[in-house]
Amino acid sequence: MKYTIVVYGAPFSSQAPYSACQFAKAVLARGHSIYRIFFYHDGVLNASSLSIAPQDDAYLPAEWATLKREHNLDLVACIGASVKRGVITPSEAERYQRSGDSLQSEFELSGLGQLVDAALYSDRVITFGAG
Amino acid sequence: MSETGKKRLLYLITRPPFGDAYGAEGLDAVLAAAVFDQDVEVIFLEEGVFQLSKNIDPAPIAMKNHAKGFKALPIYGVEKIFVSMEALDKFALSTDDLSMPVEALEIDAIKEKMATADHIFSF
Repeated sequence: MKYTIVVYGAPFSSQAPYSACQFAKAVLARGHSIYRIFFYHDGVLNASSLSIAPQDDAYLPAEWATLKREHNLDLVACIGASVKRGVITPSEAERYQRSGDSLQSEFELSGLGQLVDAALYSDRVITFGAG
Repeated sequence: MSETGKKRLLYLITRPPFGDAYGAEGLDAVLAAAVFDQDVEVIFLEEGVFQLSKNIDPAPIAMKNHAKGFKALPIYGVEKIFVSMEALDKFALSTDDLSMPVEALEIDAIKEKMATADHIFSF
């Protein structure tokens, strides 16, 4: 079965992204495929390369990055939600004259259309951290 | 899947207009779906019914009124908009208190829509 996973929760604030990451691993372990993992709302903070985990704490941006490298996943953070929360690419940093960029390189920023597209091409869409 | 081969995408709006960003970002998600020419439905549940309140004035808290965007959904082709009758009752509201004409659904009708949608997005 083809899954899309949607993440609304931020690391260190919400259990949602940790559950989402475990769910993603379970989906793949069962032989299913993941069409896309879409980060929205505070979930875009999973894509920040600037957060720092306390020692011995799980560090989700790296876990997502590893998962992507091992399974060639599509990790997309909503561009509108991301720039509002300080998750920006070098080109956004230049465009808005910010001092640095902060998007973990395994992620890409794109529009909400990618969430709708994911729904159209997935059998299941599972959201973590819904209102 | 609907008879037309389009997917049935159901958006549940469950949070009040201010206090968090779920409503504003939920609205953006619905608008994105409208562009894809799918079978889009929106149901306002729980405190989400306040998104449609006639009397929203966020000026005193210096916030932008995103909620009027919900009123514009029919312009973007999203015409299947419903509210939970249970939620209206809970907050002593009626459809007359809302900023747009919508149909109020009993809980069983909402369950039916949830059971038959291809995908549900909850905000």
